[in-house]
Amino acid sequence: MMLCQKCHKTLATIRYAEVESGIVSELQLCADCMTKLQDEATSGFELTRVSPARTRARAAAAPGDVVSERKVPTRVCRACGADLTEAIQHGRVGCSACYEALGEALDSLLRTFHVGQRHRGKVPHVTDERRLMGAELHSLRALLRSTLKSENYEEAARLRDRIRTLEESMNVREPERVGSNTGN
Amino acid sequence: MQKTLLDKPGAWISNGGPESDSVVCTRGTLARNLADLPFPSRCSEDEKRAVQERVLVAIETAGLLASGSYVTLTELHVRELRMLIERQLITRQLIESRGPRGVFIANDQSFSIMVNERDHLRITAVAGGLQPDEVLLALNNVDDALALALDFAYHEKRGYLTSSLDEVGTGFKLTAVLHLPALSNNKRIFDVEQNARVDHHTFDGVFDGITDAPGDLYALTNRATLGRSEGEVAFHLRALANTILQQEREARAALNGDTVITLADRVGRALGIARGARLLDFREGLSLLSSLRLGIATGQVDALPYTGIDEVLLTGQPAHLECKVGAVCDDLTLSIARADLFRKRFS
Repeated sequence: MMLCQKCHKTLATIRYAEVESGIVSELQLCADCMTKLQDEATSGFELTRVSPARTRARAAAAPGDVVSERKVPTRVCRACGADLTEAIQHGRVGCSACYEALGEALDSLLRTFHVGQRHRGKVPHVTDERRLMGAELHSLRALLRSTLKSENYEEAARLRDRIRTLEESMNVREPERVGSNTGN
Repeated sequence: MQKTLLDKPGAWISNGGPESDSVVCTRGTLARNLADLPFPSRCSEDEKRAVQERVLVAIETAGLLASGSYVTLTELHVRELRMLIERQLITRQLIESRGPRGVFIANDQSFSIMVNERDHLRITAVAGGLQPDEVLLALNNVDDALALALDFAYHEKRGYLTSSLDEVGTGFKLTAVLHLPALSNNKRIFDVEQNARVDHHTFDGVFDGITDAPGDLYALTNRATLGRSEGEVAFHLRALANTILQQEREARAALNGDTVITLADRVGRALGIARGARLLDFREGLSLLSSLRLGIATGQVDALPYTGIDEVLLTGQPAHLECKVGAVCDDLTLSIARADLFRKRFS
């Protein structure tokens, strides 16, 4: 149990997150301080959820009135088009690349969900195996090139067979180099 | 498939498990995504089809086809899909998603693999009683077997990358379904919720909110997936569940004279209604099962295993009854079918 981080008197019952310069920070508040905070002028930070105070302000405004809304620039993932606002509102991202593309703000958002910032669990064994196989494939291809240069065709044939076996087990093929002979 | 599922309940119900006087089951889920495709919410139809095809190949490579079957969602009637939700083998989210998607279900219903739900794969395993480590082991076995043919989205610092930010890391969510009638009765359930929150867990009613939870059934789930390993998650959930169970047992033991009579009356009435009712709605059914489970624990109801209660809990749900009747049912027909089920089981 925790005391309110504003008044330091009453028990905190509300988890409140705010975004400032793209960084999410969290406060544990009591109900009174939360109400006060929502009624304060909101310049300087953006609420992750629209506060009742702002909703009231919008509802009270007559049609045609301009209610000032601060536009906050948001990061967008180029790979899938998901943006930071979506991640904050729904706690979701669109692809693996979002985790890099949405930057530090996403890390600070993750802090509100979890107990740490670093993965401490399982590591996919197969990824390690594939990484090793990939490294072996890379060195075999380099070896093949130097063997061909030294015109050792018997050894080159043996290496090519090993490369093919490895490629098949990894289900990969070196991309075809269309038109790679130009200039050679 | 429907007939097979209807004929026999999941292995976890028949087998029971540790602490089954107060823990109905333990359920775990691992969220996984393929490294080279966007998550399902951003996938095209073709990409989802490609995911489904790759997962099917992986299931075959893993040698899992002999132990279960894969069904696409279009193959099943909506009634059957609802029944699978009630069995915790699929989620509502899978039904509400679009495009190619399906589920692999083990013959003994101990695990399932949802394809193209909110993540490309969601592996779910269920076991009776309090068995967090066993559930984790079952999930790891399936995960390792699938990883032989699939490259999962993984980042050294952030772990397994998932569509939900609250699952990134291990992608592991673990839930224990607890039966807590005494704590629920004396309102200490709110203290339990507060403690669970402090310990980075969520605690809520299974069928409704925490206040007056139907059937006195509560779900305890880990909140954090980043910063704690799978083993630590299982350890913390077991420790917290054991603390809550200890509080529940103390609350049961602390019943004074008056309450003991009240309790005996509650169990006796439940038995009478279960044996004689001709109409039973879902909520009342849950309440009766709660009283009967408590009756077994306090020695007032003999010759009835906890697994019998769990079986009625499962098969007394609306979609199960509809599948048994074989038609869309109104509330009255469901109540009649449920009362029949209770009379048959408890007489």
